Amino acid sequence: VSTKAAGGATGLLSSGRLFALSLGKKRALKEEFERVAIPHLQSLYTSAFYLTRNSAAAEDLVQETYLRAYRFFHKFRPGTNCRAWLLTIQRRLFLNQYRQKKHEPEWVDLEKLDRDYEAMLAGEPNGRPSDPEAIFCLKSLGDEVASALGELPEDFRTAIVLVDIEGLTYDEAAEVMECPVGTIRSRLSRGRRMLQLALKDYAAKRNLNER
Amino acid sequence: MDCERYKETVAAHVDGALAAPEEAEVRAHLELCARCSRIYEWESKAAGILKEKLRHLSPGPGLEEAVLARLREASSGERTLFAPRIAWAAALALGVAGLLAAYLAMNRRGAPDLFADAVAKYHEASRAAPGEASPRAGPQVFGLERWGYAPVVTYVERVGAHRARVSLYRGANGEYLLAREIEGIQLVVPSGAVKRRLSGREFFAYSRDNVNVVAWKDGELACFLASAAAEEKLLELARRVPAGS
Repeated sequence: VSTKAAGGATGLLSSGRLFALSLGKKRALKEEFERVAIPHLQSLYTSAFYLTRNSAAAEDLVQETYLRAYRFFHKFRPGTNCRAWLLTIQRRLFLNQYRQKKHEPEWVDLEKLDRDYEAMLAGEPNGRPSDPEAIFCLKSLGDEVASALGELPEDFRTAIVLVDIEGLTYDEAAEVMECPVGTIRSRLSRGRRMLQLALKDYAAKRNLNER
Repeated sequence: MDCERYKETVAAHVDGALAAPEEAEVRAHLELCARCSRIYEWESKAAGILKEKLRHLSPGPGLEEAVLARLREASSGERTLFAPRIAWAAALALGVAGLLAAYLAMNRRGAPDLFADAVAKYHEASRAAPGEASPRAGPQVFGLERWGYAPVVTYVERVGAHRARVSLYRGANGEYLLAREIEGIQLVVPSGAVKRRLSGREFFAYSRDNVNVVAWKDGELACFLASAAAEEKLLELARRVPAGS
């Protein structure tokens, strides 16, 4: 009987010890999560801002992203790109919220884009040779670039944010956007053209105002 | 390589993101094509300037603290979940949530997600595809053999009460392409999809599990193309399929 009682006591002790161990493990996990994930706060905020186009909504989205990432931290593979992993979670969260709000997808007229782009490359109507520097008056452009990027349709905007701001590779960007890498290529090509055309319009409007 | 393909590839070329064989193909094209050379020159300058101007944005000063506080909260909440009494309550709550989710899923069955279905169908058909193309007598869906796609298999199936025709094709690079048309079904567009307008017609582009889907409505038919090929390629094919065919 005494052996049984002793065994039971040991059993109780070891479950208490297990509980304490699991608490210690959780604390270590949280610290590890903060160590690897928090340094990407600015990247997540930038991407969230370009997704939501609103700073308060962007901050909410970043917080939700961190919470979700923490819950699924056991799925993160150490040695892979943590920023890309966080950005994937963030975009999924955003698209789910977007779906709930039943937003209409945005229209893109690809033929018009090609026509406008060709016209820009062909130069001004007076036959002046065109040059990107001259057309966008880029030296004096500041916030207009961020505003123009914010105006692009979501998939083009996100491709530019991921590759041109976050510096992800095409393969990583394809993982974040959950699409084939060929789609990233074409979204970037088209997105950059849309951005150039928008900046050309900004510059033209400003020149008109200055005159 | 032709000018149309270069147009889709120019960003990757400017960024040095092409694999060596494709890079060689692009260089060969640029040597022969003055127009694309000019586009390359322009795009490299423009991309350089834009990258310089596009920067990270700074969040408000309290964001990091707010994130850390929520993590602390989540972490302490998680611990209480493991306390035995609360574990029973949590299990009960999960059970109720599961039943509710099952009930909601049953009610949602009325409007199937045809886009996700096209992706699943693509995976299923390309996995089961025979090694050799075996064109069947009779018309293939959308007649894509006109543009160099080899028909692999064509069959008729039902989607709920609706009749559907499916053709699986194989492209010049060995990639599979699924063409599917469903009669008299409503085309419900999921909100990850993007609308595209080409030649005055409307298309929906959607991407999931590394498969692109392009869909459109042609009278009573809901039409789908699904493939791992680039979205632009699918859009171009969809645009070529004449309406009412």
